[in-house]
Amino acid sequence: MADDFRYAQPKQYQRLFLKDDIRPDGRPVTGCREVKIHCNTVSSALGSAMVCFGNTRVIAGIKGRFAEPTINNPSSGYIIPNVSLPGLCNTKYRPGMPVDKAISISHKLESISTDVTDLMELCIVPGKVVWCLYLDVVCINDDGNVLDAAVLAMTAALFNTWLPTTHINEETGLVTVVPGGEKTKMILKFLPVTVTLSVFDDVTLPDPCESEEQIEAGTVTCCVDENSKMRAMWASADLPDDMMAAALLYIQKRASVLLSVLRKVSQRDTP
Amino acid sequence: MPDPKRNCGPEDAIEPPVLYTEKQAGKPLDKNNKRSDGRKWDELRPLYMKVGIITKAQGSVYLEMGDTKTYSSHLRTKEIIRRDEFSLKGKVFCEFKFMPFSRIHYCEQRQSFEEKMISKTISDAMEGVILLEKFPKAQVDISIQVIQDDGSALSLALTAASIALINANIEIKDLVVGTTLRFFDSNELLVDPTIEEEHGPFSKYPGGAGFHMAVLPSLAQISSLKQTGRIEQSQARDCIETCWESCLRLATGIKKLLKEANEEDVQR
Repeated sequence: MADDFRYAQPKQYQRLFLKDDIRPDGRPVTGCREVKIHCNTVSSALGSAMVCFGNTRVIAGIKGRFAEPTINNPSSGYIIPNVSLPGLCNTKYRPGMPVDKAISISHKLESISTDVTDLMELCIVPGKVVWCLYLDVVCINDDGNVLDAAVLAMTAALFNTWLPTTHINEETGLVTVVPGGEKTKMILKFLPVTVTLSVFDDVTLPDPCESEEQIEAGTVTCCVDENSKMRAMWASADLPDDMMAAALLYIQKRASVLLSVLRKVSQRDTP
Repeated sequence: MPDPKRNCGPEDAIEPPVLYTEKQAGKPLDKNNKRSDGRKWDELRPLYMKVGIITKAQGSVYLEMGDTKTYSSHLRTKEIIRRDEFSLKGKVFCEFKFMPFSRIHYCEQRQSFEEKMISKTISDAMEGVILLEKFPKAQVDISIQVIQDDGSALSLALTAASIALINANIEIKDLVVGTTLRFFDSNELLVDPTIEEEHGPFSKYPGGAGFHMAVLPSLAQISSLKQTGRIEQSQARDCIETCWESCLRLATGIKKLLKEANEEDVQR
């Protein structure tokens, strides 16, 4: 019967829980789900990571190709992020063209990832050959808050990316990759992490699960780096000033927790 | 062709050429009759299976064999709304996709021709196994994503699809178990090849033939068979028999794991 009430009147259902300062899945109002990160899970990729926020599971992987740089930036490489929400992860997605949600998350990842590394490091032969890194984030299970999981997976994958050394043939100018050669670790300028708060009825709920996402009034997402600098912010809800200030404080704390988990796991999973 | 809905990189990006300095060709079996990863010719890689891993799907499984890892899920059985597609028997729709970072070369986000062919192979195999008369006017959706392809991806995906359907309590005649086999001109057979041994663009050993076979173990029927390359008829028979035996061995392992997973569920 509780299930019937939940389907018929989801907002009322949530309000009944929030009255007792608890959320329908048992978390306190400011509680987040357990974060698990595994790095270097896919050996065919240059760098990879799997992130789980409770049941939401996301895998990011990086593959590299050679490309010609643009005329405006002859020594800059490319990082191309793409997020895919395949039919696998939730019954509401169908196979085929990417869903609006996937496109919106891809755009957010793109705006964060343009600065995350010095693209000059990806240059091999200026004006001729640069690395083009394809960063693909695939969601396996969508139980809400895919954006945060995708950004954390992107950061973890980039943090654990090893670029193979290249060899340039002087006569022909052909650039090849040395098989089994040394690899250089990619250096990131900062480690971006996002925290999303869902706004429902004048209460902000961090790390919303899928049922909470469907009834929320809007979200506030903030991208923070390890020096507590704000890198990007997206808000689609109207929050009064004091709540916004409290939200930002919470976001900073949560971001530092996520980054400490990331650092610990990177040390553990380094091959 | 640029895809407007996805971030496409520069159009002229190419795979980094790898130049091997030493002669890399070798023999599939060395003098102790062991393969490069220490297995014998008919040894399968260790299997890891976890069911129910995707909470938002009706049934799902994560299957790993050696380094080939795949997720499969059955999402929903939905009604076909278009009137001209009405039939008393249900339909099967399968979506198979390699994740972009799963293979040696980068795979595009859009389904390539090869993936569409594999999707069709899996849905054809499943059509013979699912009791579609129980789903009139409905469509059974299966979705498979391969995280890493280290050989035998098609067989593993087919096995994973059937386990996901079992986990979703869809009525099927039998478990479908698949294995891949590689046959060489030197009359050597390798069961469950890795990507370096498998017949395909990344094979270190050219020539010969590659077999993929899926079997219904309790009913003793072949569900799917695919051969690429060139082989004599008598040798093909040997290959089919070897595939059959490996499938049966794999099936006993999977049934045991499914039973244990079921008991855990019941205890909870």
